[in-house]
This record gives sequence, C-alpha cells and structure tokens, in this order.
Amino acid sequence: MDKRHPSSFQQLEKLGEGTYATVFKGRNGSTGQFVALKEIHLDSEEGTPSTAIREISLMKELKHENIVSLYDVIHTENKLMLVFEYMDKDLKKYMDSYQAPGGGPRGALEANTIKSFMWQLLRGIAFCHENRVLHRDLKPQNLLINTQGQLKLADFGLARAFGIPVNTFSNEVVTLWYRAPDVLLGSRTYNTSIDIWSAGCIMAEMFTGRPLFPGTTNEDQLQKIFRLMGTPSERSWPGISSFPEYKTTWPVYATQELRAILPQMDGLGLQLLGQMLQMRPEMRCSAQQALNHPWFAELNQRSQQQAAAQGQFAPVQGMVAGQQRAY
Amino acid sequence: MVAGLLTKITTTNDQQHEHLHRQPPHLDGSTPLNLQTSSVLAFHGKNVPSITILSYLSRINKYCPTSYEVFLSLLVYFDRMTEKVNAGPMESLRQANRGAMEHNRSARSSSESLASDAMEGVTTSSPPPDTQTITPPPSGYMEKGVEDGRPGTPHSRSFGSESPPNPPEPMSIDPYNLSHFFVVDSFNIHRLVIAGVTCASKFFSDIFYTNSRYAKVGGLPLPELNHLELQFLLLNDFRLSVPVEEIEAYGTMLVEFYAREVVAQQKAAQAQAMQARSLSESSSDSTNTVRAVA
Repeated sequence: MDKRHPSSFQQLEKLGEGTYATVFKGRNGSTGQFVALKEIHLDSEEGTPSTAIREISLMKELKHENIVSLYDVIHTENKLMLVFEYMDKDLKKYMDSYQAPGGGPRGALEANTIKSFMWQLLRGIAFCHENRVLHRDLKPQNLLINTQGQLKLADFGLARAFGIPVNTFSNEVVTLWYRAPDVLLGSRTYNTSIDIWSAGCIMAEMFTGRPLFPGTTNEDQLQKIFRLMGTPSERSWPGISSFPEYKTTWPVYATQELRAILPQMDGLGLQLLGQMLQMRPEMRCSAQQALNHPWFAELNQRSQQQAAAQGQFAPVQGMVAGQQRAY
Repeated sequence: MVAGLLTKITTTNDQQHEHLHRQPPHLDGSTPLNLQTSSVLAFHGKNVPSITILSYLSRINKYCPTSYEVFLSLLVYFDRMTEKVNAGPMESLRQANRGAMEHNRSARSSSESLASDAMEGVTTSSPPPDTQTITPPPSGYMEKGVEDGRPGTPHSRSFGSESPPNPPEPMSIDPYNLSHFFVVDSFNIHRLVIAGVTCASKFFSDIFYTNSRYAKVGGLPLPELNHLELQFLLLNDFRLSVPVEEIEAYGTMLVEFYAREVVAQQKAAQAQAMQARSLSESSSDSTNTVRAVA
C-alpha cells in the first residue's frame, strides 16, 4: 500500500487556502490520476480540528455522484492529508469566468446550465438529508464543477449529523450571504431547511451573476432579505417575536415579486425559487420536493430513461451514458 | 428540556455504573497486555489510574460538559475498535488452529500416506468445524457476566446476547497468546475515554473545548492526548458517524442493563447474608435463592 504515503502524490499548484487547510492539486504517482490534496495542520492546542474530523467521518459515509469523493486519508504526526477526487473549478470561479455567448451580465449562466446545476445540487443535498447530514455551508465556493458539467458538493467541515435532538447547535453557520433568516434570527433548532435556503440563494445568483443578499453584518443581512421578502411580523410568521434577534425597530418593507428582480427566469423556475426562499423554515420545500418540481421534469425524465437503459442511475444531462467522472 | 437533562444524567450514570463494574480486570489481571498494534498500545497505561471510572467520567462531565450522545457513542466506538483490531488476531488464531488441526491429522495419517503433506496448503479453504467455537476475549464492557457473578466472561458484541463462556485453547502456541487482542480494561479505559470524548465532542457537538483543556481535565500531557486522539481516529477508521438507530439501540440496552443492575443490587442488599455476590461463582444461584425467599 504505497498509496498511504504522502510522497506517493506529486504536489502541483496550490488550489486554495482555507482557515484550517491548504488545498493542492496533486497527481497520483502510480496511476497519473489527478487528485485534490487537502493538507490539514494538526495544531498542538486544538489537536485534530473538528472540521477535519467531521469532514472525514461524514464524507466516508456519503458516497454519491453529486458529492465529492474522499479517496484516502494519509496521516503523519503533525498533519493529515485528505485525498479527494479532482474537480476543475468551484462554481464561484466558474461564474466569474463565464460570459454568455449572447451577451448579458458577466457571471450569469444560461438557463439550461442552471437547471442542470440546480438539479445536481438538490440531488446532492437530498442525499445528505436522507443520510441525516446537514451541510450547513452551501455557497458557490463549495460547489465544484468538472469539465463534463458535473456539480458536486464539497467542504463538509461545518456539516454535522442530525437526528438526535440536542441543544448544541451553533447559529454561527453558513456564510452570511447564504444564511437562512431563522438562523440569522438566532435559531438553534434549525434543520434541513437551512440548506434549502442556501440553494435558493445560489439559484438566483446563477441567473444574475450577483449574490442575492450580499449583507455585511447579521443585521444588514436580515434587512436585505426583508427588502425583498417583506419584513416578517407575528401575522406573517407566528412566533417570530420569540427569536433572540427579533427587533421591533425593523423598518417595514412590503413583499416584492421575485419576478421583478429576476426577469430572466421562467415562470416555473420562479415558482420553485419561491418555494425554496420561504422565510419560515417549515414552509420551505424539501430537497426531494424541489427535485419533483415540474421545472425539472425533462431532467427527471431523461435520468429515468438512462437509468432504465443502464439498469442503474446515471448522472447529468449531456453526458454520454457510462462516461466516468473526471480525474 | 428537563426530560432531556434527566435522560442525559441517567444515561451518563448508567454508563458510569456500567464502567464501574468493569473495573475488576479481566483474565484475573495477571497478564499484562502487550498488544501488537502500536495504536492500541498507546492507550495502555503501566498502572491502573487510581481514579475510578465513575469519578473520571463525572470529572469530564463537570469540566467539559457535553451531550449524552457523546458518552453513549463511546460504547459504540469501543465496540467497533474491538471488532476491527481483533479481526486480525482472530484470523491468525483461526489459521493457527486449522494448522494445528491439520498437523494432528497429518501426524496421524503420515504413516498412511505422504501425500497428506500437500494438504497443509489447501486446508485454509476448508475450516474444520470446531474453529467456530473460538471466542475472542471479552471486549470488556457491557459485561453481563458481571451481574451473573462471572467477571470476565468472554463476551463479544452487545450485552443483549450472551456468548457461551469459551476459553480459547491452551496458550502454548504464539497465535493463541491473548496479548494480540484489544481488550478494554482498567489499564487503558481512562485514556480511551478521554481520547474518545475529545473526538466525539468535536464530531457531535458544536460546543467543544481545546485539547489542552481536555488534557488538563483528563490528567495527561497535551502531546499525549493529541497522539491518542489521532490513534483513536485511526482505530475507528475516522468513521465517527453513528446511525441514530444504533445510538438508540445502545441507549436502550444501557437502560435495560442499568435496570437489571439496580434490581440485582437491591436484591443483593436485601440478602445481606449472602455477601458473596462479588466473588462466588454461585452468584446467579444466590440471586435465584433470593428470588425464592422474596
């Protein structure tokens, strides 16, 4: 098992740097296969970072075509190296570098691409939720894209298992812009619906090329949401006044039509987005419900046909049946 | 909330009791364990720490409070580690046993045919029936044997099902040496607990502490805890996820165990005359007697 040794991977360029890890592109010395190497420094005060423990534990259980594969964990006394499937870029970089052939704002993707990405994103989320895992940090930077147009969820460092009710949930989760209103209001009993809110934000961002709610602080984030969704009240959201962050001083905004800020979206898409971007968590649709929405009818039909033809479930539109993932 | 807290307290207490009763070292404690795996060895102390498991867990729960699932998950992890580590020695034990069987057979038959030697290589594919009877040494906890008055009854996975007490063959041949096995015992339980709590808290809870705090509370140097933490993760193959059903099953078993334990203790208290519960082999008989008297 020479594979277990760090030196069996050739380290190539740096792909990114996170708070607890540095990611390099790597090449498997024996197979030539490209991989992503996530190097985690083991701090003496903190020991093994909780993010690493969670990411490894959860990703070992979550094997799905819309979730990045963890191939191996290599350890030395002072660092851990996670060997991941290589993906070309994250959705953020993909959008930043994308210019639609027919013009339009830079970063805005085409409707078919968005539909495919959303379908794959929701399939990944649905799989996590079925396996009782909350991702809790969905954002374009954590969604990876390969050259075949596959989208996969990555970075499970903030994820956690759920199922046993405990009061140890932190509300310091999810990058501000993609954080659900109930979490912003201080909820610690959130559930799968927080990932759906993030998915909704990402969907809108793919259409416009700009983040939907680019808040600067918790309070600003709430205000930006209220400006579009309307300021909630006890009438529109019974129980809202008991949230820790509830304020009586909020400016009162009226609810706007999503259509007004997303004129490029079709009716069905807007309907789906509306079901995901519900202020009240219990009103948001589940990932599986979203997948069953008529907006995805064509993709669902195609995947069913492919599955029937192959005798198994096949990924992604536009892919040759049986084609393998990129390395 | 209150119910949750109560559950936590009782569950933790259950567990503490359960650990307490594990205190008597298995295999009469006379054989110091030399485990082959360095990961396993890392947990093994030279001496049994003087602090009881009950006090140790209380101390951890006091200074590093966490949810009950963290404590409960330790049981799951210990079981998994035991299974994983012992799979190797078990296999070699089986093979050695087969070899020995074959050796006997070929010794018997050598006078008849030289060809029987060739059989030696083939035998692995046809295990003799009685290799099935070999049981690994006790994983060390959920020890139904304790309440039955038979400390150290070999017992593998859960405390629901009892495996027959089945001492392995005489330990003259090396693979039969029990030191190859991973056994949760008084020498390693403290280190296993603190390393396990450290890992499980980080996995399960959004509230956890620095390793330096866990080290201080656990009473061991920080570098050692860091090392143990990594070894604990490795021994669990970094898989700390526990399905809800599994956690619940362990919780249920624990409560049942505790209930049995309390009943047994009460009966033992009633029957003062029969103080022999701890040592005598006839403990279960005495329980029956008490039942008959009561």
